[in-house]
Amino acid sequence: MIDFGLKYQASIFLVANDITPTPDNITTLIDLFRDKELVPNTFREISPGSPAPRGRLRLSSPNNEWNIKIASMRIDIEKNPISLKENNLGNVNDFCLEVTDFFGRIISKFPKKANRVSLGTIFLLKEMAESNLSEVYPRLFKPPEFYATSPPFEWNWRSASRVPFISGEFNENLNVITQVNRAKVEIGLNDEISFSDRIQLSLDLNTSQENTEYRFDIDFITTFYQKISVFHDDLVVKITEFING
Amino acid sequence: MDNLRENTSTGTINIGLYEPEVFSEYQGFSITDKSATTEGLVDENFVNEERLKRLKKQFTRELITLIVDEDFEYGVDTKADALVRSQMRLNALATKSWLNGIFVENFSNIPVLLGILRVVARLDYSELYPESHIMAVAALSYKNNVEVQECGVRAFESWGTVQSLKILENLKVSTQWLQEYIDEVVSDLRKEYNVSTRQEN
Repeated sequence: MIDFGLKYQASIFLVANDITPTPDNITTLIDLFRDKELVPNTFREISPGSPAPRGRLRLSSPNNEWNIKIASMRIDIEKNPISLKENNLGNVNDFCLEVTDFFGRIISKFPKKANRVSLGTIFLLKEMAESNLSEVYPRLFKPPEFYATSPPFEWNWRSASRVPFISGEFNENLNVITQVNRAKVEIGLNDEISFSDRIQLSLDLNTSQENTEYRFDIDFITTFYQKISVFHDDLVVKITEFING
Repeated sequence: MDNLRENTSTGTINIGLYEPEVFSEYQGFSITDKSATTEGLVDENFVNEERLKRLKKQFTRELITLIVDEDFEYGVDTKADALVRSQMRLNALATKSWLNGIFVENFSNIPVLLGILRVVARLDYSELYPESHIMAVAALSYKNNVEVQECGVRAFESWGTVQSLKILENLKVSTQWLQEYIDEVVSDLRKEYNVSTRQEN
C-alpha cells in the first residue's frame, strides 16, 4: 500500500539556543559527524519568540539525504529521498536506530535534556484507479449533502488523539496525529518530476506538550524511538487497511 | 481546533519556519499540492523562495562554469564575483541560501569549492554572515586538501575581523608552510587590533 517515503523526521525539544554558528560549535559538530560526511550550513529560523529571522546551524549531506537542524528550542533530524526511482528512506525502525545514535552524539558534547520527543513520517500510497480512489472519501467522511452529491477531488482528513506512553519512571501522554490527503501531487526531485493524483499519509507521534520540564535524557530518547517505531508501523498497517477497505 | 493543531503537532521546520508545509525547493525536493484554492500566496517567504528557485535554475550552472573556467588571481575581481554581487544586491537572503546550497552540494568537488570560497572571501563579511563564517570554518576543517584549508585561511585574512583572529590563532595544521602562513596572518591581525599574547611574547 505504501509506495514511496517522502520524509522521516525525528525531533527533540530542548534549549539549544547556545548551539549557534560559532567556530567552536561548527568544528565540534563537524567532528561529531565526520564519518557521515555532513557539511555545515545554515537555515533561517523564525519562531514566535524571535520574529526576526536568525541564522541557525544545519548539517547536511551533499545530496540532501540527511539534515540535522539545530533550532533554538528543538533539534530536527530529517531523512529525505534522493531519487524518485529508488526509495532510500528504508524502514522506520532503522531510521529510529540511526537518529538515536545521532542525538546521542550531540548530547554527549552538548549535555541537555528534552521535554518533548517526536517522530514524523510522510508517505505516498500506491496510485489507485479513480473508482478505488473515490471510494476512500466516504469511508473517512460523512459529508454534507453538497459534497455527498458532488464528491471532492481534493480532501484532507486529520485526527489528533492521545494515548498513554509509559517508559520506566515516565508516564507520558503520546499525541498521535494522522493526516490523510487526496491531492494532485507534483514531486520535483533534482531533475526528476512526477505528477500524480493520489493519497498522502502523514503521521506525527509526539510526547505531549503539557509537561514542560526538561526531563528526557538520552536513555529515555533511546527507549522512545525503540517503542515508537513499532507503534508507528502498526498504525500504518491499520490505517492503510482501513483506506483500502 | 487551530489551538489543538498548534500544540499537538510537532510539524517540521521549513527553512526555519514553523509551518505545516514540509518540503521546500531549497532542499532539492518539493511536493506541491495543486489545490484549487485561490488564497493569496505573496508573502516575504514566497518572494525569497521564488528568487531562490530562479537563482538555482538560471544562475547555478553559469556560476559554476565561471568558477571552473575563469583564471583566478587574488585581488582581481572575476565575472563570478560580479555575478554574485549583482544577485546579492537584488536579494541578499536568497543569494546567501543559494551560495550555501552550492557549497554543500559541491563539498567534494574541489575546484567548485575553492571557487565559492574565493568569491565569498571577497564579499563583505557582515553581509554574508553567518554563512560566510560557516563555509570558511568548514574549509579549515577539510582534512584531505590543504588548498581548501588555505582558502579558508585566506577568507578569514580577507575579512580581517577580530573574529577571524580568534579563529586563526587557535588553528593548528599539519602542513608546515600553511601553519607559517596562518601564524603570519595572526601576527598581522594582532598588530591591527593591538592584541598582544603570551605566544607572541
